[in-house]
Amino acid sequence: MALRAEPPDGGWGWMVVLSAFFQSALVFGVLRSFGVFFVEFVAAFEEPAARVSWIASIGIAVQQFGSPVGSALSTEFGPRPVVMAGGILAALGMLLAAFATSLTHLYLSIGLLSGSGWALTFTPTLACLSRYFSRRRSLATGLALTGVGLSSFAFAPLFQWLLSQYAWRGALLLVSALSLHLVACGALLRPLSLAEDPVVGGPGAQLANLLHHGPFLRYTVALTLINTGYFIPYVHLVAHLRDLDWDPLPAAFLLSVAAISDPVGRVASGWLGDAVPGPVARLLMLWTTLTGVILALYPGAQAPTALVALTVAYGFTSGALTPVAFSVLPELVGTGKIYCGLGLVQMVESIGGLLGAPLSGYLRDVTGTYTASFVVAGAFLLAGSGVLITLPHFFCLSAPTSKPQDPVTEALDTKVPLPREGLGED
Amino acid sequence: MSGSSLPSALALSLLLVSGSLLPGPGAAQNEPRIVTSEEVIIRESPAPSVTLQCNLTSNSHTLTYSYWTKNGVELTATRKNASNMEYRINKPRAEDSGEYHCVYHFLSAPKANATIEVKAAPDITGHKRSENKNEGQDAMMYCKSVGYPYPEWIWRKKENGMPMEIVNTSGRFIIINRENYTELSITNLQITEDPGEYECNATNSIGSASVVTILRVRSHLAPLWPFLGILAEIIILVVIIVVYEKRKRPDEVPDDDEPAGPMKTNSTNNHKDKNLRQRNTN
Repeated sequence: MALRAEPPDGGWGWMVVLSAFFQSALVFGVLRSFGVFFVEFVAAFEEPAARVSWIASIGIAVQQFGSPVGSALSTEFGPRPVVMAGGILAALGMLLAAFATSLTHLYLSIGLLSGSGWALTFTPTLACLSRYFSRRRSLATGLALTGVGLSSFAFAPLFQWLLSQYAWRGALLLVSALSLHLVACGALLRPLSLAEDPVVGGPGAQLANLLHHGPFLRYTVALTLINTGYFIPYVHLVAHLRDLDWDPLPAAFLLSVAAISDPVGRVASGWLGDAVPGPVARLLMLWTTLTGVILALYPGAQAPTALVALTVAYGFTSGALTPVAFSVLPELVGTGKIYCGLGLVQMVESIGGLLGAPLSGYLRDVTGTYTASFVVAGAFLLAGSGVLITLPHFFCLSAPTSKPQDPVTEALDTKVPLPREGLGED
Repeated sequence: MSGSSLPSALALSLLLVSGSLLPGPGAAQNEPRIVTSEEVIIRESPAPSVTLQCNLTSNSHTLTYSYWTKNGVELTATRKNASNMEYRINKPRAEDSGEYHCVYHFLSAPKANATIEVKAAPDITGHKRSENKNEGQDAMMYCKSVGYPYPEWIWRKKENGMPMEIVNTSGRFIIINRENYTELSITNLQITEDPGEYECNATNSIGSASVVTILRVRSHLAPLWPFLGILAEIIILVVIIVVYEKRKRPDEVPDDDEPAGPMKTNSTNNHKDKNLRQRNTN
């Protein structure tokens, strides 16, 4: 394929958006709705709830820690074969789970196997999307990520119906067939050769280069801090409302209100990220700071109207920060190294995600209310946005949007030996 | 129906008079006698309120206290020291039915009591609307009722719309009956003969009631067809996508890395020149 100097910003790119939409739905929508199976597993295997919830935790952990592997393989072979293989793995995991006779089988099949499949799909798809767009990158990412929220709406009742019709073994069989659509999504990821690709070399060289890249490391730290505080409301909002003597049904309803304002925020922020000139990192800092402030305001809100308003705002701002978070990376490291970069970021920031919820729960146990948890979560977000200020070109009025920053190409000239053969990603 | 009290009071007094004419053992003259109101049958709902009455007559012992019990359990806030006992049931329902006793305790004599029965037709208060199980598993259906006297239970299965009594030819049916509870268990469910509507029927001397539970048996193979269908759909999708791509660009060969290939855009800048420079040094 001929090399392109610029990402196409449209055309087949919109099919990639479609593919990414269904992918995020099939990976995260399935993960988020898996709680429906939870009750069935507890009854079927007669195990306590804590042990059953490890299934989802292992799956999420494998997906996030395996992201660099997916990235490295995509750099080497292109995203299409990697994502298709990931789809087969994810479906195979669910299929084997349908024949499980003990909880350990489920840990291995859903947690390990499906988790590895998901690791091979999510990161390469988003990276591929970033390569297809430059001017409208944030909008494309925002649109693609709405798949997560909408699928959580659809899959929870769907899984419940599958369980009542077919019992849990049959339902897992059909979820496996559903997950197999990831293969079709992968087929849509037509490879793209950009001008920067031959320069940056293979995955090993890219990883080494990234680890010496100052702005990239600072960005990773910022995202890890943000990730620590980001999930707290989703995990603890309902419990906090129950502490304030809310009934369970209105409390759950409030969470779905956040789930509605979330995709609205994603698309709006995506559009804004492309429309506003200058580094996208500034918008990320704006949304992160707003989210942090909202979280810190939560303990002070007692009246129902205040809580509803805060939750709507939280849904909007936390959704808004996701597409821009993904868009900052190509600006920092260039689209050539996007696969490896995204994989590394996912792996490191997942540490924050793993620590955030237990930390918040621990604070609640120690202090008796969720006040400390919310304030600490807000503090993490504000700290993360503070680190973002240190990124290059932050205070420029205008900066190049998709070309790699100067420090990167200089680093390339000095540190990475130029590959002599086997040029061009397919 | 509760009869009017006037003719029954007359009958009662007649009985008492005739009883006192009979010669009895010496102690019989000191036995307390209790006059009660009639037994009550609760029919319609809502039923008019009902009052149970006990009157202690011809008593020569000292009364300490008295109270009401229902089915052997003392009713709260009914304990008094009176020979005339009343218990009022507002809006009587099936669950108010039972065997009521008014109990009198004496200082130095054994206690005495009298019985008033409050009867009603059974009312089924608990059952499963549906039971879904896989073939080979066991199903359990139950019915709970309130009402006195305790009913007789019959399980029926609807065949061609008509309820037929269950015949245990296969030996897989187990029925457990208790006073206000019945349970039907079917072991090793068979998908050909077991699914259907099962009716539990409670009957006592006043009336009867019945409810239906729907039993569904899931086949092991049921999810297989949708699974294969979705598999076929995905294969077709992938084939379409790949074929579409090949037909759009038949000239592209994956190994082609022609260095000076035609650039698709005209914009130039330093970065691109740098890239070209680096490429050309290879």
